[in-house]
Amino acid sequence: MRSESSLRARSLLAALAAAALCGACSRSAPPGNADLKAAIADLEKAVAAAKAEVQRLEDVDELENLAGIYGHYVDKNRHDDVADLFAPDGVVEIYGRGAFLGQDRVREYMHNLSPGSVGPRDGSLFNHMHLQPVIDVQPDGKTAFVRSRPFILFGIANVNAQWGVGVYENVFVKQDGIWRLGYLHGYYTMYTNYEDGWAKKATPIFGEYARLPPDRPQSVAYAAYPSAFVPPFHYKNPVTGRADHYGDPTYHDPQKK
Amino acid sequence: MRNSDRCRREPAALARRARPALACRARHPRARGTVVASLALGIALSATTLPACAQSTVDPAARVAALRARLASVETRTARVADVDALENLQGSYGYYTDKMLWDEVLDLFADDGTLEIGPSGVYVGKDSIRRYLLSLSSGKQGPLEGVLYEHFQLQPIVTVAPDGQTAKARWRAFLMTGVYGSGSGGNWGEGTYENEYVKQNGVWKIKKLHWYTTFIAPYEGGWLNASKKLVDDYALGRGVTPDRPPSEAYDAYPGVYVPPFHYKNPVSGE
Repeated sequence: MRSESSLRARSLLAALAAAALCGACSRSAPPGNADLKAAIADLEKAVAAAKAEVQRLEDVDELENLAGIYGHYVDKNRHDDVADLFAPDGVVEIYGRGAFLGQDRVREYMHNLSPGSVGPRDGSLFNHMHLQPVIDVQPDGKTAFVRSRPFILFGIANVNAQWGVGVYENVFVKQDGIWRLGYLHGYYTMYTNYEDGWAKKATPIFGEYARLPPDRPQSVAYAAYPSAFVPPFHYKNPVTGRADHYGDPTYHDPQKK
Repeated sequence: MRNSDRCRREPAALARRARPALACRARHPRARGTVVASLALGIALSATTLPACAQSTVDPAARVAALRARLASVETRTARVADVDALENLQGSYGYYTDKMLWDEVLDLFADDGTLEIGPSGVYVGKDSIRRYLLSLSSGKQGPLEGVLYEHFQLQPIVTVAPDGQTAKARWRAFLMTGVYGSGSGGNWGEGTYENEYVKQNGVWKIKKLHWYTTFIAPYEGGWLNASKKLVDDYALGRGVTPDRPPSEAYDAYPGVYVPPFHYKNPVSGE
């Protein structure tokens, strides 16, 4: 739906551009009465507000694309394409691997996923579906938060096959007019082997790579399924605005609740 | 290019009577820049969107009124696009809250007279009833339970906002991975279709009707080869609570077949 809304947003922007031009020209029309001037001033304000809203809607579309593009690149081990999506001071923090600070370190992290190899490999399945985005562009238009759901199908032919589910809570920043990944934060919910399913076994959360220690340990300590954990939400309840526990990773603790 | 050309040509065509139009170009380079920006977007403005500078002999008050009407139309269209985004966020949030059995958060998403119907659960009407139903699914507890997987993917939205922007309908798909760790078995797959309704109250979208039609619930072992009605009942029926109304439609989940009614007509043929 959002790809359709992108087209609509662009045609709206064009209509607004015409309206803005008309508004500007009206100012140089023969002087009218004070009412007319006030009406034109109101119109200019309304056009500015509408333009800002169209910009926000376009941002939502771009962010949805960017979140999806990340997944498509990861699928195919396009490590440099992934790293290029990040801001210069971008951070990647996935599961228990710890946090890697800055685009250069993000690049190292990505290449470390398949040392010495870039691009898809025979016998390797690395699908990262990115689903269910909840997108919130901040009022400054320069920062945005996106919660999304990765559904991961991992496999090495004739060796193993795994399922994985989790949550991403990502921060995007607009720099030089382009949205970039500012903080990619993947929370691990459950991983398990295909042959076992999730009722018999589950894989503990991944730890730090011995061969590539992080710049910082993981920022939120938690255990994966079968433990219970709520990845913090960037958003308040969309209806009530309640934020009792948001961003509080200890929410799942019944004592605290 | 048509409009900026027009701006340039009009002064010559209209000679001195059109001085304001000339001024338009000279004094408002940003306005021209805006037109260039719109052209860069590949949008050719039609003659019906001629800038005011080309119509400078028209009564200014009438021009302002015409612009206001045009802008109102743009604002309405913009609001409908924003509604779609807000509704996708709303239903997406429902899924993330449900994953973790954050029932108070889920309840907050409903209108006071909202209804909920999950597969064969029957219809729960109003927040009190919905709350009883949801808590019955988790032994009266809120929040994620140790050893319980309860993933509710919310996928493939088809969102239709009413022209007045006060109500909306959406078809979605839920994909489920549920189960209890250590049970040895009992991990389940599930899939089904929502046909939901929403209402905007005080500018905020809320769920008016949540209706999930089960396609199947199947055990992990054997997958949908072993789908069963018992698993559907285990998943969807409230425990020790009674719905306010019986199921609104009678159908069997897979291996039965059923087409949940579409809220929309075929968007191409209109049928």
